[in-house]
Amino acid sequence: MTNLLRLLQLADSALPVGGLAHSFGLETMIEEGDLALSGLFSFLRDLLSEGLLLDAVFCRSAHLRAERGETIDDLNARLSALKLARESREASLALGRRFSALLATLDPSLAVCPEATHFVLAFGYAGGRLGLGADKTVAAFLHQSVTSAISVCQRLLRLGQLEAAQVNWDLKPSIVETTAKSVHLAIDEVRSFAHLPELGSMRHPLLPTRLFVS
Amino acid sequence: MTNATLSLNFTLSGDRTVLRVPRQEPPWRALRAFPNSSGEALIHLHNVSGGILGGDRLALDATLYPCAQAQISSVSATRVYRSRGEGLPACQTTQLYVGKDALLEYLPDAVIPFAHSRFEQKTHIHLAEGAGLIWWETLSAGRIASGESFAFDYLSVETSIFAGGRPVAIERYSLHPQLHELSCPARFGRFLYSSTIYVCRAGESRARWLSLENELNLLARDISRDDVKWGASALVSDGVVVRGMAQSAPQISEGLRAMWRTAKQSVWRRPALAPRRVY
Repeated sequence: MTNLLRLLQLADSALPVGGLAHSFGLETMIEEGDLALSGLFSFLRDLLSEGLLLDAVFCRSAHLRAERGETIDDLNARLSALKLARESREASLALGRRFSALLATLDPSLAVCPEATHFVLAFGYAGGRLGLGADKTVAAFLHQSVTSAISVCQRLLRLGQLEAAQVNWDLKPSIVETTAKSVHLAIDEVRSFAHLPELGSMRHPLLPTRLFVS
Repeated sequence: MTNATLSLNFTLSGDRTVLRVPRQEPPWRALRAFPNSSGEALIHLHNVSGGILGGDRLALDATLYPCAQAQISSVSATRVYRSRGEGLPACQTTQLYVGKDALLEYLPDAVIPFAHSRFEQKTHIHLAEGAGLIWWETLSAGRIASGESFAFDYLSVETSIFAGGRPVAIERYSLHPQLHELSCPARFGRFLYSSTIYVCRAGESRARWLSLENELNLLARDISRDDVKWGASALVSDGVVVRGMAQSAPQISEGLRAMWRTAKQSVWRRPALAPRRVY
């Protein structure tokens, strides 16, 4: 029970790692009219079958490495090459760095990841070290990713708390589906197409005013 | 169904890059190499069957030996024809090796997947230290002028670039229009064309790429409108990626050439010479 509660804490979008400062390109998409409130649910559902599926597979792989006591340096290098948009890649590394530092403070025995580790890998590795199941760890990571994206949209769109809660509630089956898909995919097999969100991230530095770092 | 390989070797001889073609099987045809005024040996690839047919297995291997300079283009779009029944998909594999201080510009026309086509494309690029690359690819939703868009059965793309053994860029995706909506914000949105350009030189400093990202993004701001958008990002190392999405082909080709000109002048201090006059 204690470890489940720890997982809930680590997957909380309010965890002090800086997650609220990043939109991962969503700010550009909304600002440029490529994402509207009416399409938010389907956008997040589609994201779960593309970019977040990629994250799920890498999260599961890091979890397995932790269980085996193996390093994740190669996963980290590969994920950096897969994340083409600089701001999103750097955001992922910044969150990973803060997550690892926080974990090392909370429980020094878990200080395991090198400083520049992607958030999803640090999270998966921590789940493995804590002895949490791979499915739970992956689902928890996806859940916090979706919750963070909804939080971004609450600040950029006319999305009220109740509507936000409903979108998050309705996405649970898709999170479970993506978690299940990730069981059967190796890191060399998983595929992800997200050209428009990637373009949003690449164009983020061009926005005249920005609420988010990425 | 055809199994065919085209192998190209580029070597520096004196101050000229010379092409040797150790293997050329139809429908591949490499049209003669001649030097352009920017210093590259220019060749055009031609598929004499007019396109890629279901079950075709096409392979292209190109090696640039140290200090060679080549520009590889195509004579027309890569048309991927309808696959028959449940037959095998068409497959094209490209392996590019760029030796030390060599430069490869790989600038093909768009890939057009026809209705009910099935196509797998794999591209693997290895750059030795100091090697340069300008590579682009444009993916069309289909035969837009004929009213076809996202009518193919599936399209699978794998692209990887390694520089000095380091993974620099990896893209792997599969598009199944019957299973997943493609005209949605998570994928193509309202656009029908998507282009990607990689500009790399192995070993170049990170500051250099951040500077180029900024330069290309200023250009992107100038040439982007509501119906065409461009953006650039420094890769994890050794290069920059440029992405463009548009609703029409001319918007894409104009942007590709503008980005290419700027990047080549900035990194190699040489002009970008279009392989032909009309696009």
